[in-house]
Amino acid sequence: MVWQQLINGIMLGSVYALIALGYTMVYGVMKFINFAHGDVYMWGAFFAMFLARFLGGQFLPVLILTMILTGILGVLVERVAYKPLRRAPRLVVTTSALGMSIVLSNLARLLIGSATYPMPKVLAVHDFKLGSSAVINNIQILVLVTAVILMVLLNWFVNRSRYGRAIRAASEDQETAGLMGVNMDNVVSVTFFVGSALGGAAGLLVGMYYDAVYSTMGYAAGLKAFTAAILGGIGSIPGAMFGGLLLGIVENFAGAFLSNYRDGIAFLVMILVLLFRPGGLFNAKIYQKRV
Amino acid sequence: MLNVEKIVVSYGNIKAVHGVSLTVNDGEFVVLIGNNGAGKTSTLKAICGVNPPSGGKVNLNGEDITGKPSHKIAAKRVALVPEGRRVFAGMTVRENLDMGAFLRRDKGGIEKDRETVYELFPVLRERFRQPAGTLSGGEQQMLAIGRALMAQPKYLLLDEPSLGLAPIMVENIFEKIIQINRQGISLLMVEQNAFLALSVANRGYVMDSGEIVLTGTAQELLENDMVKRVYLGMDETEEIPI
Repeated sequence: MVWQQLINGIMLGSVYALIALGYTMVYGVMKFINFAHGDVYMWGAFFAMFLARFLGGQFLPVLILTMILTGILGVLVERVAYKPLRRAPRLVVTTSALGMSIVLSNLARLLIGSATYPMPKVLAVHDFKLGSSAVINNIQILVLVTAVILMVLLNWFVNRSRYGRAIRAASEDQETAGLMGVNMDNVVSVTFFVGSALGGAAGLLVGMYYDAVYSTMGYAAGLKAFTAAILGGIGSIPGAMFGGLLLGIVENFAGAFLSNYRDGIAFLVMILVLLFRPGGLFNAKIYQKRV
Repeated sequence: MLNVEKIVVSYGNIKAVHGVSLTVNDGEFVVLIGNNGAGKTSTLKAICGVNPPSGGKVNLNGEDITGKPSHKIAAKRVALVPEGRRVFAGMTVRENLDMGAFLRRDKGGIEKDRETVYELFPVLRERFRQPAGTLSGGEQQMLAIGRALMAQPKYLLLDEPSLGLAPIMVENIFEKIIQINRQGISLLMVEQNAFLALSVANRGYVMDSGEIVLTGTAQELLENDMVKRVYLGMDETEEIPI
């Protein structure tokens, strides 16, 4: 029972972490909470669903194309709703993000429908027994492995690549990054692309795991991932990864032992962290080196 | 030649700089001295595009660069070492230097220049893996200068490099600044320590309340009565202590 909850928690947590990275990266660079991110994730799930219908059960091409399309959607959202407000107070931009969130979810209902749609199968389900009581299936393994690989790649990108460094520099000090020749418009676009692409990947993974895609799926997942980002310390990339995992595990244990209160427990954890460690568990205001 | 013509800088309704003109010739070491709030930093920021001027012109070798965004001006090989150093505290020393070379793609050249910076400031080599936030103030100033050098600037603008540093560290850093100038990089330095600034520079401008009130060779300014009284804190009868 304990092991089973741990496995489920880690799996769910790795997905929260993927979505949380989008919140934390955007916050790092632009200092506002992109509340439309949950709905970008939902669109990612729909992109994945259509791609899977077209391409059949080819996981990797579906994943890559989903990430590219969702990344582009994220960049478009930024251009339309945030770029004109670059110099406006952060509260104004946050409000615009809330508006964008509603627009995106309604657009999905309008264009696709309000039903719950199945995700075409990318592979047949096999269960594996772990010891005497725990079970893990190949979809769970795929979700976990994909999430971990994406986070390793992101870590490489942020710490080792030229633009990754520019993103970290800009999140510390935009003015000085500009003096180094960094074009903020490009940094913002890259940040939105990468954050949204990770959200899109999460959309595919969740859609696959629950075999369900629907227009309001971004709301709860977005809120949870946002909580995960806060838990780890918003602005910190390792914090988002850790916060996601922690939240996933806590939620699963709460769900198993306290039945209906899993969401309540998840948010209670957030409130406790905010009360006693407002900077998050990683206590970071800036991007940190390495995980 | 860097030529600033009658620039005006305002923050809202407040004019910080009104009609400042100055020139930095190739290879020259020019200082801008004046009291706190005289508009020195605003002038440098206007040149670099951090706070674009609301009037006047900035010319770089005959090209009008007025009001261009800072990343475009950086591409013209004009680098600023900002006031208060502004190193990227969460990034390592080496990453800070790499940020200075952000616009360059020549890996070999970047490597070579990093070595040059390490030779100029050996302590940076010792600490290259350390987060810049853990360095002392003087070391951070060295890093800020090294970072600017990584961009291969033709014009290096320095804003108060002595600020908050121990006298021995100031001496050390000024020696390096002179070395940098000898390598052919033109310097425009803002400095509150007027005596120190004038004793290393070729020419100087004195700024007060957003305007240039006096200009001349460093020697002329050192001997000027007004400069002696107001900025060097001396009586006219006193000699400059060396």
